[in-house]
Amino acid sequence: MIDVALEHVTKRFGHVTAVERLSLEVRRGEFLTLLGPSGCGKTTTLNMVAGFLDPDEGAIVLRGRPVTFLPPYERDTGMVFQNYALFPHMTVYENVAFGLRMRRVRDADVRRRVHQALDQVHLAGLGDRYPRQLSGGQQQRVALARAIVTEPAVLLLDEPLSNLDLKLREAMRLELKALQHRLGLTTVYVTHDQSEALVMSDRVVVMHRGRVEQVGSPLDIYERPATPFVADFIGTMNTLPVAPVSAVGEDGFHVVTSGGARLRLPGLARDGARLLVAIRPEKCRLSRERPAADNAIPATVADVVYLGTTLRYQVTLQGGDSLLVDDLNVPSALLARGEAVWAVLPPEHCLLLDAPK
Amino acid sequence: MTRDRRTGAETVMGPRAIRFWKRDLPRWGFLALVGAIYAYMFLPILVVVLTSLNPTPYLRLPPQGLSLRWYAAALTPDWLDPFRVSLVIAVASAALATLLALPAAFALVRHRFPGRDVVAALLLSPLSLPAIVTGVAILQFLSLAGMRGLLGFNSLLLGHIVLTVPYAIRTIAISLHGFDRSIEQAAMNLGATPWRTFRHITLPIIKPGLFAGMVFAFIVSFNNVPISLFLVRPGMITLPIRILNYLEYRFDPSLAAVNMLSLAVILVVVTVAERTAGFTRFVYSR
Repeated sequence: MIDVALEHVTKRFGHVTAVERLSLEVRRGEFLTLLGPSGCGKTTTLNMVAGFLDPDEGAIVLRGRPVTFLPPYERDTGMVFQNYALFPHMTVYENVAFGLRMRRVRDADVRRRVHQALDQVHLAGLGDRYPRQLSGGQQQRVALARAIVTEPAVLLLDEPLSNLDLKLREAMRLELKALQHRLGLTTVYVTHDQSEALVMSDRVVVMHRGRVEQVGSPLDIYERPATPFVADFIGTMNTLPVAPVSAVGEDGFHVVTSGGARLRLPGLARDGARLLVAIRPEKCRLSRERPAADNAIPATVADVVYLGTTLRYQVTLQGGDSLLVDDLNVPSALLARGEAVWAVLPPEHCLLLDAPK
Repeated sequence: MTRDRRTGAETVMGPRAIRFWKRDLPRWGFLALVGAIYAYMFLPILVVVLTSLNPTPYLRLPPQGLSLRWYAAALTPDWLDPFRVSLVIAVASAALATLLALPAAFALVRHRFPGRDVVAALLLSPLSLPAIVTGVAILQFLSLAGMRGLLGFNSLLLGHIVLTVPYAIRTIAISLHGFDRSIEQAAMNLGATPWRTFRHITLPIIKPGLFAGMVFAFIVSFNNVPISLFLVRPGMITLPIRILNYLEYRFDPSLAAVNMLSLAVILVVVTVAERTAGFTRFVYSR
């Protein structure tokens, strides 16, 4: 069951293409996140679904109904705005009741549904307050209650947690996700915060310059980024420029780094002169003795950064490439700056990407 | 550290001295300054109050007694008729000016259109032109257009609307400038049509600005001399013009009583506006 479908949607502002031929389907009950840096087109996309912007090309379908050029008030979406956009002259109760009143719901039903929605966001008893009498976290819950009380086809969230402080933000992530799951709300969530996206989403759409870079589960986009942009944007990633070796071995595909080190990669040979090997810092290892493993490269420890749970080493590989390696913060693991070591890049964790043009 | 006057030795200020110089003197000094400013503003009004209640034609201090004879003189048709004209003109022009200013302010604040700056300058020009020029211009226009018949109530109303529209535009525009448009988007997202969004969301939020504009318009109209001067006709004159005419021939405390009555009217208007829209919050930006 598809609740939201975007078909080849394009939006231009003057000469700038904000969203280019975007196609997307959101399944019923799914939590889908549009993730990307500012200016990537994620908020523009959300505004087109809500009806605040008209696409220049393409179609938008909500629960099977084409809504591409319908005004916002004839679509069935519930939006939570970044600044909450509560009605300052109305109480919490009136704010939440507004959408029901616009739909001419009977008074008795309004009362029941508003109280139910306030219960769901843990605001029972605060109905008589005005928004200015509430904390940021409470205002955000009101905005959420107001958006879900009408039982919209899709819940749209525009960076709703970005104005909260860190502790509250982390708590709200889990609470929001739990509420969404409990009510089975089809949700499109916009954020530039990759950890938010990883924690909350069923699927993540990584956007860059108006285009989709990759669609996948949080695990997919973290473990198997499809493009250098995704690799760089999600978490921390080492990338080493490499060139293929003409003679391909039996045991996989061999490449050579610009520093001359030879690496074995799983899988088939790839064409292309400009390739990148990508590997997460936590997937690399350092050792003082020469290891028996594949893909060991002599290196020097250039810097050690203390991160609490982990230590982050910056090492300089033979030939001058730089590599980040994360290790658990245990005393026996500690290496000193300037120490000569071997860096191991296990083949199964190495990804091969095309270098950006 | 200060220097002892007799011995010339350095001494440390005692706690009492510190309290006087650092706390009490600045505090009382500031209160005295505020008091002086209030006195400057309100003493003239006090003089008018005393004059209006004084039995003799000239104010003597201390007052010679208490009398309402000047109020009796003020409550005659000679004064009440122009009073009524001023009141009706002020209420009507404030209401109509606000009604006209509302769409104008929306257009000026929310839309970019060719000639916008010219339109803005034109609509606000009565603020910068000497009112007497506007008055003469309206009179000449009516004469040239062969509409001298409009002189009196109609011309007064038209002239005062021209005069007061800029005030209403200003205050409404200010409340629209600070307006968070996402609040309107939220309303439409919840199913409100543009009209219902305006009616239930936009209008209540800009209400203080609307009322502030209306109050300013009322006061400006109620006190206006230079435009009314050219647009009145016998039997249809405003209170300020009546006062001016009266002053040409004599001066007596019935003028003070008339002033007290018009002050009362303005106080009532301001109070009502404050109660319904809390417009002082707007004027002092809360």
